[in-house]
Amino acid sequence: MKKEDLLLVERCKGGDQIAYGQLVRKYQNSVYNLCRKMVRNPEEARDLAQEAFVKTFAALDRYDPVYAFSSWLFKITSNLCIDHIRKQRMRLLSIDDPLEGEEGVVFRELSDPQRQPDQVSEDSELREAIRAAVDRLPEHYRVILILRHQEQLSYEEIATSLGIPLGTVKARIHRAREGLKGALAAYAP
Amino acid sequence: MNLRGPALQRSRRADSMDCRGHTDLVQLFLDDELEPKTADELREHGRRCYLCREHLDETRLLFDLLDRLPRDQAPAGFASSVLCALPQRFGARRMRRGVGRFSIRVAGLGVAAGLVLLPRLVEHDDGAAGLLDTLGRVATWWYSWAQDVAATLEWLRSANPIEAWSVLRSIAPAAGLILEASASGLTLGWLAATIAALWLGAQVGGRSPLSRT
Repeated sequence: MKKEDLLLVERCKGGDQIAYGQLVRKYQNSVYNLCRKMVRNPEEARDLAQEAFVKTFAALDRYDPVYAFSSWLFKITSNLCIDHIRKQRMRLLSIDDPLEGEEGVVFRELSDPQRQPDQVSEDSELREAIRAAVDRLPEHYRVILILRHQEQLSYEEIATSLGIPLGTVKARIHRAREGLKGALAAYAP
Repeated sequence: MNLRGPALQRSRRADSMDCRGHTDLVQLFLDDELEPKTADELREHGRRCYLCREHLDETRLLFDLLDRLPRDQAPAGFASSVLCALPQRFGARRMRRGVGRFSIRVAGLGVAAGLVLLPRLVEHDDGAAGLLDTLGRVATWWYSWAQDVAATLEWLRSANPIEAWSVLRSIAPAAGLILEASASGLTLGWLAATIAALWLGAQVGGRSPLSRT
C-alpha cells in the first residue's frame, strides 16, 4: 500500500492530477470521517476535508517518503481540524470546553442531563451514548481515539501522524478512555 | 512510570489498591502494544485477580463500542470537488512544472525556429535535389514540433477542464496566425506568426495569462 502511494505521489509531483485523484478517492472516506468526528457539522467537515487534500497537494514537495502518505495526510487533516476548532472557540465560548490547568486538560462532566440511566438499555442506545461521549472529548483526545479505533493505526503511527511523542499518545489515549468509562458508568446495567 | 514488572508483582497479591496500576497495562494489552512476555503475565494475573478481570472486561466492552462507532462516508462528488479546487489555487504552478509547461514551451520554440528558418532554406534552394533536402529538413522539424503539440493536446485532454480551457485560449490565436501565414506565404504573415510563437513560448515559460494565482 505504501509503495503504491509513493508511486502515485511521484506522479503527482510531476503535475499529474489524475494520480492525485486516485489518492483522493482512496483516502476520502478516512479524511472525511476524521473531519466529521472532529467538527460534527457536515458542511464544515466537507470543507475541512477538501482543504486538507488541497493543502496536501500543495505541499507534496515537502513530503518525506520515509513515512506513510496516509500518516502525513492525517497529520495535515488533524492540524486543520484542531485549528478550526480553536478558531471557533475564540468566537464562541462553549460549555463543552475542556478545562486546562497545570495538570493538563481536565474533562468536564460528560453525562447528558436529558437522558436517565434507566431509559437506556439497548445496545444501539449505548453506542449512541459512546458517540455522544466521544463528541464531548477535547479535540486532542478525540483525534487519537478516532485514529486508533476507526483507522486502526498503531501508537507509533498515531505519534507520527500527529507529530507528538509516543509517550504522549499513550497518556492521552489512556485518559480519553478512562474519561469515556466515567461517562458510560451511568449506563451500566 | 514503569508498571510492567513491579505492578504485576503487586497485583498478584490480589490487593485492590495494588491493582489500580493494572489499568495502564490492560489498555496496552487490548491495543496489542504489549510485549508477549508481559502480555502472558497479564493474562496470568487476570486469572487470579477478580477485580482486574472485571476491569479487563469493562475495558474490552469500551474498545468494542469504540471500534463499532459508525464511519462517515465522504459525500457524493467529493473527489471531483477536490480536483476542481486544485487548479484554482495551484493549477498554473503545477502545470508549468509538468508536461504541459515543457510541451508548450518546446512547441512554441519549435514553431518560431521553423518559421524563421524556412524562408532562408527556400532562398538557398539549389535545384530539385536541394528542394527535396530542404523539404526533408523542414518536415523533420515540423514532425518534431507536431509531436510536442500532440503531447500537449494529450495533456490538455486529461487535464482539468478549467485549466485546459485557459491553455487553449492562449494557444488558439497563435494557431490561427500560423495557418494564415502558411496559406498566403507572405513575409508579413511569417513574421507575425514568428512573433506570436515567441510570445507564446515566453508567456508560458514566464508570467502568463495562465498564472492567475
